[in-house]
Amino acid sequence: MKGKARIDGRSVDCVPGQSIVAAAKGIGIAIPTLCYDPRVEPSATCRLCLVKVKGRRLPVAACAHALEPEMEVTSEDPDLESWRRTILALALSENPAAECRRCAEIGPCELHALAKKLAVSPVFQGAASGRFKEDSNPFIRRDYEQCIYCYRCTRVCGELEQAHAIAPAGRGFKSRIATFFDGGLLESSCTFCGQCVQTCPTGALMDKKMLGKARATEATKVRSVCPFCGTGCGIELHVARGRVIGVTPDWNAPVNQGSLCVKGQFGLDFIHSPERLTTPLIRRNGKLTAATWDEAYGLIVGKFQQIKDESGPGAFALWSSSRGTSESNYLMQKFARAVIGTNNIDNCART
Amino acid sequence: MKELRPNPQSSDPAPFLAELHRVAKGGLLSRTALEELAASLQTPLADLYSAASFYHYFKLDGDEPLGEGVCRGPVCSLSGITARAHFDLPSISCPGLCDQAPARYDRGDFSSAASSDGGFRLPHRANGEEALFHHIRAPDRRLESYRRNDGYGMLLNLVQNKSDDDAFAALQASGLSGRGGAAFPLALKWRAVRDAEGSPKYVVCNADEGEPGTFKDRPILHLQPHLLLEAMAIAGYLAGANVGIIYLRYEYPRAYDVLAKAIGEAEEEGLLGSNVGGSSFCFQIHIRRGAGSYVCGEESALLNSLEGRRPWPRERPPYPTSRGLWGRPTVVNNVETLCFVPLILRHGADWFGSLGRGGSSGTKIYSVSGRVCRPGNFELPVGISARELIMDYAGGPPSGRSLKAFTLGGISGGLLASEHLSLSLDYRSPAKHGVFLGSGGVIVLDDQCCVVDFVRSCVLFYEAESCGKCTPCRIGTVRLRELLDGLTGRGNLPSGVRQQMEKISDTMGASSACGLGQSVPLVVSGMGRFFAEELREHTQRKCRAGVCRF
Ligand SMILES: Cc1cc2nc3c(=O)[nH]c(=O)nc-3n(C[C@H](O)[C@H](O)[C@H](O)COP(=O)(O)O)c2cc1C
Ligand code: SF4
Repeated sequence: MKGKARIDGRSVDCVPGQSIVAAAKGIGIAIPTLCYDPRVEPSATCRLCLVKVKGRRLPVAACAHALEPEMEVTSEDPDLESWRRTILALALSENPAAECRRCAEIGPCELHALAKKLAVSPVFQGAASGRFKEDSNPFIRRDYEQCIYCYRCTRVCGELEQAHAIAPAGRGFKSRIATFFDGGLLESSCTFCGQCVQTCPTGALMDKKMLGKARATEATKVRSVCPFCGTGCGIELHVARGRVIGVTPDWNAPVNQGSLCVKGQFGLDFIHSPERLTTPLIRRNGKLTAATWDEAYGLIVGKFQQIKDESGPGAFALWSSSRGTSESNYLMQKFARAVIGTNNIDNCART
Repeated sequence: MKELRPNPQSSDPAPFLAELHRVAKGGLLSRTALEELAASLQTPLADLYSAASFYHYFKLDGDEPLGEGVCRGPVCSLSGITARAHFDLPSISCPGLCDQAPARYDRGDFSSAASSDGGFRLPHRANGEEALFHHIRAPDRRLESYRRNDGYGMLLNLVQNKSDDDAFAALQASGLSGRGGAAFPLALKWRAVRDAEGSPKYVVCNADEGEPGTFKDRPILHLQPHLLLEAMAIAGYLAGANVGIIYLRYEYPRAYDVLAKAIGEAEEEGLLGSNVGGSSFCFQIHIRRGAGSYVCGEESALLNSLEGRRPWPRERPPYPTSRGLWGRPTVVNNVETLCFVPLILRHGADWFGSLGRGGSSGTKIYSVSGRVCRPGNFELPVGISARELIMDYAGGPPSGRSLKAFTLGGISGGLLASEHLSLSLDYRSPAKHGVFLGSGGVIVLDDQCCVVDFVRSCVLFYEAESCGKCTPCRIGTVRLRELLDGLTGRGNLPSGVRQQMEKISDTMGASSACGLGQSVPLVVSGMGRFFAEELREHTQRKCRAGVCRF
């Protein structure tokens, strides 16, 4: 189905299956969305991405409809603007900006950033639907008072992670995000990848470890690579006052495109752990005692030499870590073959 | 949406609802029962919980069990009808006993304080020719009585003479369109399924009838099931399907027994099942009971419900004709629509055309409820005037009272005033007032009723039944109801209440994904347009009917 369509009067090539939102983005038109995460099936729940399509009686959700040849799409006009503003105002009636901890401590949430951009204020008042969910897990805070029911977390959990820990339960205004029988995440099939937190466009799901550390305005983001395994997922370290206060995935990293696992997402607080080693330790009379690097290397060289002399190079097996860089892993095998003289070398990333 | 398949180990095309009903003890689903079911249906626990927790009549361990309840819906809460007792009982959603209101629920059964007929109540007799109801008035429901009236004759004729083209031509010429609400031409739909790629194909009968003030499918389901069964088999033959599923609303438990018995009878006589009438055509009909949810009557939500997903509506296109049950081409038709098919094939398109009035074809079942002397079902020409239906057939408001307002399409077709009584009830004329004939339900309000209070009970119904998918519908129904609470003396009244209501309902109408959210504005705007003065009085805390207490 190749052909051309028009969005706001501009000609666009149709890519089979590509949504109107994605096609518009490709030519620099940002259609507002809240429930959209391009990695999972659209849910078309927030209805903000409504566009008019010539020949259709009602507007369509641009995230859930492919751009087809000959389509004439209008992404902005007074009707659409009025509907979008009312929808946002309705969402704000449940989740006013003043109460958002994500905006305050981590960085602007999508909902409030969009409301600010479109200058929408909470004109409607009334009951809120969600409730704070006590959950004793160490990583994820679940405050559904902030939830706008975009169902990004449940789709990411089910479709992308295949964890199926959470799903929408109940109906209508009393819908809730729940595990089986509303238990805690620890009792569910949750793997604590944190992807629900990262896709959440509000403060409903937050990284517990990041809260209470700094104001959002104090932090800067530093691109880095997760040090835990050989996959090398891109991460962004949030740094404030010289300390790493949290991690978010690098959405543009080709390896992970925003995905992370529990280690990269929640395991980096070892950086400032008081239990970290700061000097080499040598066991003397059964007790580990601090030593200098010269002492430590002296000991290693002496022992290696002794073993090689007594038992030959075949007595060695070397095992290197995928947390090392390719260069250091190369050096490791060079060391095994050229210095020790053995082929007994392997790497944990091989399994 | 992802391609899904029915469990290949099971021959059941839609096991989910049947299995849930099987393991629900007194409506209660235990943790262990769901764990076992998740394993056998190969569904993740959270997903099964997600789907099961959607319905009114499945309670999960830890929920308050529902033993008894009363309907406080748009009809049952009208003045003069309201149940005076049972203030302590929880509310149930409209169970379709609006002509015998007020309705009650008691441990799996639905009844009325006003009559003992329930679903078996005979429709009123009209003066003109009845098509469908002709088959209902026979003294018994048994297969013989249907066959005496040439029942199953058209199915046998089709499968033996393979006269598909003639049948399609007759259906097309008749102009028969959907009676479930959207009025889509039946022949077009069936052709689309026949020509669509993909197999197996399915025929689904929508017997969910959840619209308040609509109980038109009820007499067919309770009193002449064979008409429907024959129609479904014909649909299967013409559209190329071998499996039919009746999605029956939970609130019609007796109809389940009637239908199940009828399927057994027809199979025994070789009219359903394998080799229908000795031909090579096989057609198996399954019944699936819903579990209490209005939105499951929306065809794509209905399909999700059958598949065991969370039953919220799908984005369309694609339509069920190309991607229906399990992503396969599927005919979804309303009970009443289907039942006209054997009759059109028997008597011809011209006959069907002659039943209508003023350029419309056919008859229609109209359900009239509310403040009239003879509430009930009437089979009358499409194109009859609202006045004739309400004032003549249904007897108008009780003596001494005058008609104030009436609805169309249950509550989802819109709200009109007494000055609209000359309106012709067909599939075109109502649009000039921005309203629709829809399902054919008409609710009547007299001068003792308050329009604002009535609209509030409609919005309350939508709030309770919104699936929660769309932001504008999920929150909008609640905000509208809160504003109406203020207008009816139940809550505080913000300034600019009318503008707020207008904004919300305008947005809901344009932006909601399904007909539920799209219809909410109709009653609200009807109130604003035709009862502006009465609405204005409420902003000043006055209710001319004396219903609202400030
Ligand atoms: C909220 C909602 C509820 C509906 N409920 C019913 C219903 O109970 N019965 C029905 O036949 N159609 C219902 N419909 C209409 C169906 O979506 C669909 O149009 C119909 O079943 C098609 O059959 P027909 O062409 O024979 O009318 C409903 C639609 C909406 C939006
Ligand atoms: S309009 Fe309402 S009922 Fe329909 S899909 Fe949206 S939220 Fe659900």
